[in-house]
Amino acid sequence: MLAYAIRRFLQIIPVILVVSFIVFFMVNLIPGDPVANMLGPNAPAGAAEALREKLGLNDPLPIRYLRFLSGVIKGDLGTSIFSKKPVLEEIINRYKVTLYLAIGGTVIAGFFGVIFGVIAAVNRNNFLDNIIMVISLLSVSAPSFFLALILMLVFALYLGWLPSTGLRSSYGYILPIITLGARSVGIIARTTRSAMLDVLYQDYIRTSRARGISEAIVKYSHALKNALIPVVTVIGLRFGGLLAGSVLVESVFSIPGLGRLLVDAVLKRDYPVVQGTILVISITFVLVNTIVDLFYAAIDPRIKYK
Amino acid sequence: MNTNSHVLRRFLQRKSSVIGSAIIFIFVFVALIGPFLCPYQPNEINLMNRYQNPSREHWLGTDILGRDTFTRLVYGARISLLISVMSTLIGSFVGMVLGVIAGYFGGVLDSFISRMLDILMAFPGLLLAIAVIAILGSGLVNTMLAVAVFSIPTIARLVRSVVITLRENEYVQACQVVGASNTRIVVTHIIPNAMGQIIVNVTLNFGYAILAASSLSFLGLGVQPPNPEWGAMLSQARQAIRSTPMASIIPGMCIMLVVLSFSMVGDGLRDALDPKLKRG
Repeated sequence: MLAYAIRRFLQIIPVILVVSFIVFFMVNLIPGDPVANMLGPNAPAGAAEALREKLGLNDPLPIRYLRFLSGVIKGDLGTSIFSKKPVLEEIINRYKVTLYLAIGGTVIAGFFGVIFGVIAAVNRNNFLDNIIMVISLLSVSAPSFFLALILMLVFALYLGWLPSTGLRSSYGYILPIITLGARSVGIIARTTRSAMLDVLYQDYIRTSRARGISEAIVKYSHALKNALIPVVTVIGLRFGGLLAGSVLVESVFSIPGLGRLLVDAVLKRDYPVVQGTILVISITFVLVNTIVDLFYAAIDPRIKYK
Repeated sequence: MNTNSHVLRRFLQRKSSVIGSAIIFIFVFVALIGPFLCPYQPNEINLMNRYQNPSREHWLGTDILGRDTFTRLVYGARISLLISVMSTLIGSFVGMVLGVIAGYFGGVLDSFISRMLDILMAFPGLLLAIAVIAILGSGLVNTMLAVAVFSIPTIARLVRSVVITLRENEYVQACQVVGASNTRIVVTHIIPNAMGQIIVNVTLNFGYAILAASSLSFLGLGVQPPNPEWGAMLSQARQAIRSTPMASIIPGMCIMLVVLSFSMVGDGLRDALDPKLKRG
């Protein structure tokens, strides 16, 4: 297993290299002069050329990429055009917030998704199953920014139970986390239901029933344990999705996370921040997917580490 | 023809598919005919009429600039559906070509395309679309392209896996033996046989495309004001969500309803095209 894990982590190095390559060239494809952006319209003549030379923008692209890459390895992602602060510092300040949101959303989604999925499966084709499946479909179809506004309208503006925007207290996390998790609840409930149904019709379940084991133990111990293997993978993969999904939720609730930083940077054309944020989110996504892969291999004895 | 009528019958037997199709039909009809029936222009500002509640003159009230919400919703249907259709068609076409090349020819081409798709998939969710917008800038056409790029990896991977299965079939090998060209085999034998799964995926993608495009517009990165795209409408209306909640709720409901309908139709088509599939 250890050898498999090491191999799996080594495999992500080329992926991260290519992602960094794409992010670098993507930002360099953006039309317009970044130096003119940094200096503004009233810069003295010759200042642009001097700054371009200082930043190494006159060098060929491959050289600039290697410089960018060595910066990334050393933890230097450049400097923000607008705040003049190091990009990494801006990212670190907000990374924690986005991580909290994604972890909270995943926990909510996993908990309720599995419960709803199991209830739907054991009540297959009944009223309860239909209701849960309709709610799941609705949650998957609702745009998260719409759900966020509805929750804000009801719980913050009408009832006044929770803050509508910002993170002045930890209560500020509740609505964003529910919004983020809600969409994944539907996906996880559907996965759990179909995994449970697959397992419930297998021979070993029939054998357990024939041996006189109680229905509750058969369903909630024997069946659920095996049905959860694919579900755990989906929950893990949703975590990566929620990292990106936080872009919308952070915008609605005015939360200073990575998503908000990215959108602001795109709108202000602050390219070093765009580059750094996309790189950090993508690397986190790749890492999370690898960990999910390893976890799946660890919990499913049928997987051989070859 | 006989097979088609069987598929249609199975599709119509599923209530949710019929309801989904009817809702989509209504939205398409409204998008095509509605603008001719609306008494107002979508960008007609009337500051004396701001934040009006629903009334006989303004069925769904007015927004922050006194514009008629119903009229903007109808014009918004045009823009949202146009983005959905165009981006899905562009994304599906490119994805299909890549998927067919990778799946049919295999070898180095397959490895290269598959790795490229893996890399596109390393950018989670909306991030890829936002990255494309960062390069191209915002606007209607760029939103379509960003959403199209977002959908390429999924359709390409699906088509690749279908083509890999199909190319091993005896009738394809028979065509190769009698000297049929690769283009002919792909166009006349492979693509028609893969069409069922492609259609299901494209249908589901119409809904995802609306979600992605409205998300971009909501963030201010997609269709720009004053154009009445549903996501952009919702973003503008949230400034006055307490006084005129309808202006936010209705565009959101429209997005949800259309996405839901495309999901129901997609699920129905999947079941109708593959009756052997046993679904819970």
